[in-house]
Amino acid sequence: MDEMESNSSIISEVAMTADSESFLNRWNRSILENELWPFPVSFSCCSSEMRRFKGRENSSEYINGLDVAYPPEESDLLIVGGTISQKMAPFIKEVYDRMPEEKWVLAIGACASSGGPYWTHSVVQGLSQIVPVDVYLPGCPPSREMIIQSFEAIRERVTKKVSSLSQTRWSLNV
Amino acid sequence: MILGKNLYNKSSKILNLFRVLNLIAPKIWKKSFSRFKTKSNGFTGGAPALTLTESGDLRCTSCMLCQNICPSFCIKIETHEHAEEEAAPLNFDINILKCTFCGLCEDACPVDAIRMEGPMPFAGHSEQNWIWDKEYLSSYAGDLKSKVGEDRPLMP
Amino acid sequence: MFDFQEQEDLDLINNRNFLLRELELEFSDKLTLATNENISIVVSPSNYIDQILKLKNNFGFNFFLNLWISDNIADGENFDLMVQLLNMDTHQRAIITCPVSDLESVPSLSDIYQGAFWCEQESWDMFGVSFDSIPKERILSPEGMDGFSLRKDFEPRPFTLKRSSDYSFSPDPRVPRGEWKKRDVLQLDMFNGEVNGPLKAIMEVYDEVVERGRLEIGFLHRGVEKIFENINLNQIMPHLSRINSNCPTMFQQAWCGGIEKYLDVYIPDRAKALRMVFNELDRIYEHLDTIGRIVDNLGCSPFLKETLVMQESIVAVMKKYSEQNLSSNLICLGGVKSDVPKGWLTECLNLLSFLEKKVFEVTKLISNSTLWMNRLCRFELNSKQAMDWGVSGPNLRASGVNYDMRKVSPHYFYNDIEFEVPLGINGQCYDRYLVRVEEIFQSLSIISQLLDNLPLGDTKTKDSSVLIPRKQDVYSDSNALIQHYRFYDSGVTLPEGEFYNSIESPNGELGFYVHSRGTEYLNRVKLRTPGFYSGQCFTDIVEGGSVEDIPLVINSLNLVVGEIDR
Repeated sequence: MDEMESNSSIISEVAMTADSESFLNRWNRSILENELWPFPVSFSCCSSEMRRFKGRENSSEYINGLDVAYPPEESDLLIVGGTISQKMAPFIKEVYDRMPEEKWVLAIGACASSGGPYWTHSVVQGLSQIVPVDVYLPGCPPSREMIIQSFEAIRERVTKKVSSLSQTRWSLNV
Repeated sequence: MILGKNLYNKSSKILNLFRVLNLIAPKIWKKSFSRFKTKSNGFTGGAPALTLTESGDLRCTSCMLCQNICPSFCIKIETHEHAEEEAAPLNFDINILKCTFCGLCEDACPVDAIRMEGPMPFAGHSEQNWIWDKEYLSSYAGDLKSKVGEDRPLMP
Repeated sequence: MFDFQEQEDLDLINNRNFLLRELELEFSDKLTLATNENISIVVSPSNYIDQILKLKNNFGFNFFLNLWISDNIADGENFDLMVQLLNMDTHQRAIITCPVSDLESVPSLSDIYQGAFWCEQESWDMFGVSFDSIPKERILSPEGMDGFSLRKDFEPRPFTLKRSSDYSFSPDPRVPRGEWKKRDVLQLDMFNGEVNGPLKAIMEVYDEVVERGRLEIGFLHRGVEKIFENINLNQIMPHLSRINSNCPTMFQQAWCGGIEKYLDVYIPDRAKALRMVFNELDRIYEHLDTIGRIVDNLGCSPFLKETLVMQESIVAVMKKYSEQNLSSNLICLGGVKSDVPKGWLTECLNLLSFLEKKVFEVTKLISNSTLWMNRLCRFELNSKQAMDWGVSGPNLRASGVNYDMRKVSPHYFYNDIEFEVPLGINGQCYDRYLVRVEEIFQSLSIISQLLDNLPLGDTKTKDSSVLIPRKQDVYSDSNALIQHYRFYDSGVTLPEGEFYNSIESPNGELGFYVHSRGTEYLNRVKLRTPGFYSGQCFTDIVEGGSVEDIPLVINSLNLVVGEIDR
C-alpha cells in the first residue's frame, strides 16, 4: 500500500547505516525483533479497545505479554492510550526514566497524540510534550486492526535501529 | 421484586467439583458465533476528504462553517485576497492527529464539499507530516464527485 | 373493585399537595418555584444550616443529590451555592440557593449529609469558596496549582511537571495512643487496567488488614464543564459520548430530553421507542462490563472472554444501524438521526435470544457456588448510609431500598411496559452482582416488548426551532439554505432560565443542570454523575478487608473514572 511504502521510505532516510556489530548486539536485536515486552498504560475510552484486543485468542501473535505485569526496569515498549491529564504526567515521565536504554514509545488515539477535542489547560496537548514518541496512531477510538498494524510499524523501527530517543540525543549533541 | 432465597444458598461440594470440571474440560459442542463478529474494520470510510466538481475543481467555497463547528478546532482555512473572483480556498489544512471523526463537518457543509468517505489513517512514524493539505485531501480517496447539480451558482 | 394503582396515584397527589402547602407556610416568600417535580427555595447564609435541617427532619428530604456553585452575578466576586435534595415519598427535587462570597467561610454540610464532603472540596478547588472544617486540598486539579479554574477570569499558567507529596492519615481516635506507630500507610496505584480508569487507593494497614482507606481521584480531569461554557450547542454532542464510553446514549438522552422539555418540543412516538431501545442496549453493555471485571478479579479468565464476546455482539448490531464510532450518530435534538435500516429488527431479535442463553450459561456457574460466595459475601453497605452518601442505582437496590426512576417518575413509554425491579437483601458484593444479572434479563424483556409493538411514523420532529433541514432541500431550496446557515452559525439559543433533567443510568441517577442567560454560550453546566457519590462510600465499606480485595470492591461498585473526574 502507498502508506506503508512512504512510511518505510521515511525512516530509511533517518536510519543509520549498519556498521560491523558485535555478536551480542546482533543477538539482542534478533530477540527484540521477535519479542518486545510492553508496559501498557491506558485510561478513558481507548482502554476498552485495548481490553478487547487483549481478549482475542490470537493477540499473542502480534505482541506478547500484555496480560503479565512487567516492572518498568524490564520492559522495552511504552504504550499510552487515552487522555493525559496534568496530574498523570509525572507518573509517565517516571516510568519512562526507569526503563532501560533501548526503548520505544507508542501513542494510541487522538487524545494521546495531540490532546484531541480537549483544549483546556488541564490536559497535556500530546505525549510529545513529555517524552519523545516513535509511532502515532490517530483515531477516536482506533479499531483493532489499526492497533495490530501499529505493532508492525514498531517492529520495523526496531529492525532498522531507529528510535526517537537516539534522534533527540543526536540533535542535541549529547 | 426481591431476589429469591435460593440464590443465596451454598451448594454441596460434589456439585462444585462437577462445575470446576465443566470449566476446565474443552467444549466439543461449541457453537460458532462468527456471524456476530465485526467485519474487517467495521466500516470502509470515515476520514475526511474533499470533493471535486465535474470539471475537476474543488467544490469548496470557503464559507468557514466547518471550521466553526469542529469540536477539536483541527480545520484551518485561508482564502484568496479577492474572494469574489476565486471562491476556492488558498489553504485547507486538517490536523489529522486531533480529528475525532465525528462527521459534524460533513453535516455543516452547504455545498457537499467535504465527506467522510476516505480510508481510515494508518499508524505512522513520528517524522512524517501529520497536517494534510488540500492536494492530499482531494486525491487520497479516489476522485470523489459531489452530488450537487452543475448549474448551481457559487456563493458570494 | 379496589385498584392499587389508582389508590397509589391518589396517595401521591395528596402527599404532594400536603407537602406544598406545608412548604408555603414555612418559607412563604422565599419559595420561588413549586411544581409537581421541582421546588426552589432561596435562603440567606445566616440560617442556611437550620433550614436544611428542617427540610431533612420535618419535610422528608433525606436523600442527598448534589452541591455546587454557580456564578450567577456577572462581577465575579459573588457566587450562588446550590444544594439539591430528593424527597423519596413524593419524588420531588428541591434546589436551595444561598448567595456566598469567597471572603468568608461558609458552614459545612458534611455533618448532616456525608456525601457533601467531596462536593465542598471540589467547590474550593474550582471557585475558591472555603468551608469550615474542610481541608483546603486540591481534589481534581494537580497539587500546587495557582488559580481557580471555573471562574470566568481564570488565566492558565504554563505547564510544569511536579510530583505530588506523600500521603498520611490523621491519628485514629478509636485506637489507643501506643498503637499509632504500628500501622503502615500503603499506596496502591491502579493505572494498568485493574479498574476502569486511573485511580489510587491509600490505606492504613495493620498486619495485612486494612483499617482505614480512601480514594484519590483527579487523574483524568479533563475540564468538561469549562468546555461546555465556551462552545455552541451543536458542538457538544461528540463530547457527551466520551464522558463514559460504555453508555454514550444515556448521556445524549439526558441532555436532549432536558432541552426538549425546556423548549416544549414534541417528539414523535417512533423516536421515543427507538431511544428507549438504545438506552436499554447500553444498560446491558455496562452491566456486562461490571460482571466481566468482577469475574476477572476472582481469577476466572475464560468467563471474561465470554463477556467480551457478548459485548462485541452488541457493538456489531449497533454499528449496523449507523456506522459511527462510539454511537455518536444515533440520537440528535428532535428525534433519532436516521430510520431503522432493512433487516435490522431481525438481527436485533436474534441478538436478544443469543444474549439470554449466554448470560444464563455464564452466571449459572457462579451463583450458588461456595468458591465464589466465600469471597463475595463481604463488604456490606448499609441502606441508611447509602442514602446519606447519595448512592443510587443498583448499588442502592442491592441494600434493599426500592427506588428506580423508571418506575417512580417514568418518561416516554416506561409506564406501559411490564418489568420488575430486582432488590437485594444484605448489601454485600454478592448482592450487587446478582442485582445486575437480573437487570440484564429485565432489560432483554423490555427491548423485546418494544420491538414487537414499534409505532409507525416519523423519526424526527417537525418543529422548526430545533430541526435541521434535509440535505436535498439545502442544495435546491433557498429557504432551507437560510435556515441551515442560521442553525450552523450560532446554534440553538436557549431562552433565559435554568432547568434540571435526570434519567436512570446503569450506575445511578444521571442529571444535567443548565443555566443560560439568553446568549449564544451557556453560563453554567453541572453534571450530576453517579460515580462521584459511589466513590465516597469506599471509606465505609473497605474496613476489615485485605489489600488484595481492593480492586474487587471498586469493581463491584462499578466506578468509572470518566464519570468521577469529568
